[in-house]
Amino acid sequence: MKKTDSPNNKEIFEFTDLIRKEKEEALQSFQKEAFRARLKRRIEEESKAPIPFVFRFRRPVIATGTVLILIVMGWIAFQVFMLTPEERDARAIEKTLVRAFESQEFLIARSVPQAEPAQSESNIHEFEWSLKRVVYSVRREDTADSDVPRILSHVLQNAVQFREAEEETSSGVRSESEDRLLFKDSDSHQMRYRIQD
Amino acid sequence: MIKTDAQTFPLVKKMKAAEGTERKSRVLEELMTHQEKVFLICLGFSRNPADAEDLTQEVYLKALRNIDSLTDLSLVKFWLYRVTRNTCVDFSRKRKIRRHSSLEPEHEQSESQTPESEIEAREQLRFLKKAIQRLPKKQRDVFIMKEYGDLSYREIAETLKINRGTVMSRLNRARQTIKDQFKGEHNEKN
Repeated sequence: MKKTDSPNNKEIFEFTDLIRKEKEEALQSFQKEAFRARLKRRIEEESKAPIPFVFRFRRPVIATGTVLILIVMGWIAFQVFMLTPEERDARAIEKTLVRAFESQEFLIARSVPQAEPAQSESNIHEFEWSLKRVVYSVRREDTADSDVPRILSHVLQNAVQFREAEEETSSGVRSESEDRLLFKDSDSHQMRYRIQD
Repeated sequence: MIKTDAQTFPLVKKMKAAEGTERKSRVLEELMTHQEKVFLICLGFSRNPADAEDLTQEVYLKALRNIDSLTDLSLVKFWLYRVTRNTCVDFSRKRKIRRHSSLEPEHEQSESQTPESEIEAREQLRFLKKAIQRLPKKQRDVFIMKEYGDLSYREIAETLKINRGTVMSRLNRARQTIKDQFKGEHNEKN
C-alpha cells in the first residue's frame, strides 16, 4: 500500500490502491462465460413469457383506477348537470301549462281584455296568482301529474263562463272586486273534487 | 386508416421482425464488449462482487428491453453506461430502504478466523464504501465511473451529459472528500 510522504498523512490510506485491489479480486471471481450463459437463459425466459411479469399486477390496478376515475367523473357530471328543486318545479309547471293551454288559447284571449292595458295588466297578475294557487294546491294534495292539465283547463273554462255571465248581468262596467281573480285555493280544491266526483 | 406495408404484407412484416432481431443481436454483441467495465461500475455502487454481478445482469436485461430507444448505434457505449448508472442508483435506493426496514446487519462475514491484516483491509474497504456512499450524488457518479470503471473524462462527460471541466472538478472534490474522511477516521483511531 502506498503511504504519503508527509508525516501528518503518513498513516492515511491511499484509497486508489484499495479500489485497485478490490477490482482485481472481483474480476477474478467474475466469470464472463458463466455470466453470458446466465444472461442468455434469462433473455430466453423473458421472451417466452406471454405477459411481462409487472403487467400481471398492473392490470387489476389499471382496471380499478379506470373505474374510480369513471365514478369521480360521473359524480362531477351529476353535480354539474343535476337540476335544482326550483328548476325542476319551474320545468314541471311550464310543461303542465303548455298542455293546459293547448286547447285553451282562445279562452285566454277572451279572459284578458286587450283594449284595456291597465286592467289587463292587473288581470294577468291575478291570473298568474290563480295558476300558482292551483299548482301549489295540487302539490299539497299530492295530485297525479296527469290530472293537472285537466283541472287547469276545467278551471279556465269555468272562469270564462263566469266572466261571460258577469258581463251579461252587469252593465259592462266591472267593479274592482269583480276584477279580482276568480280562483282561490278553495276554488281550485272544490273544482278538483268536482272533477273527481 | 391507412395500412402500413408491414400490415399489408406478412412477408414485409417478417422481414422487419428479422431485421429487428438482427439489429438486437448486433447491438447485444456490441454491448457485451463493455461487460467488464459495466461490472466494475456496478462494483463501485454495490457492496460486493456478487451484488455487482446481479446488477450487471439487470443492466443488460434493462438495456435489451429498451433497445428500441437507442437510435444512434455509435452512442451505444454511453447509453449503456447511463443505463448502468441508473440501474445502480435504483438498486442503492432499494437497498437503503431494505436495510432501514429490516435492520439487516452490515457485517456479514465471520472475522474470527481471518488474519489481522486481512481484517484491517476489509475494515478499510468497508469504510471506503461508506465514504463513497456518503458523497454527494453527482460527485459519487463521477468518482465511481473514473475510479472503478476507468472511463476517460470524455466518456464520463458524454455519459452524464456534462462538460469535461465539470467532470474534472467533481472528481477532484470527490477525491478530496474521501481523503478527508480517511484522515478523520485515522485521527479518531489514534
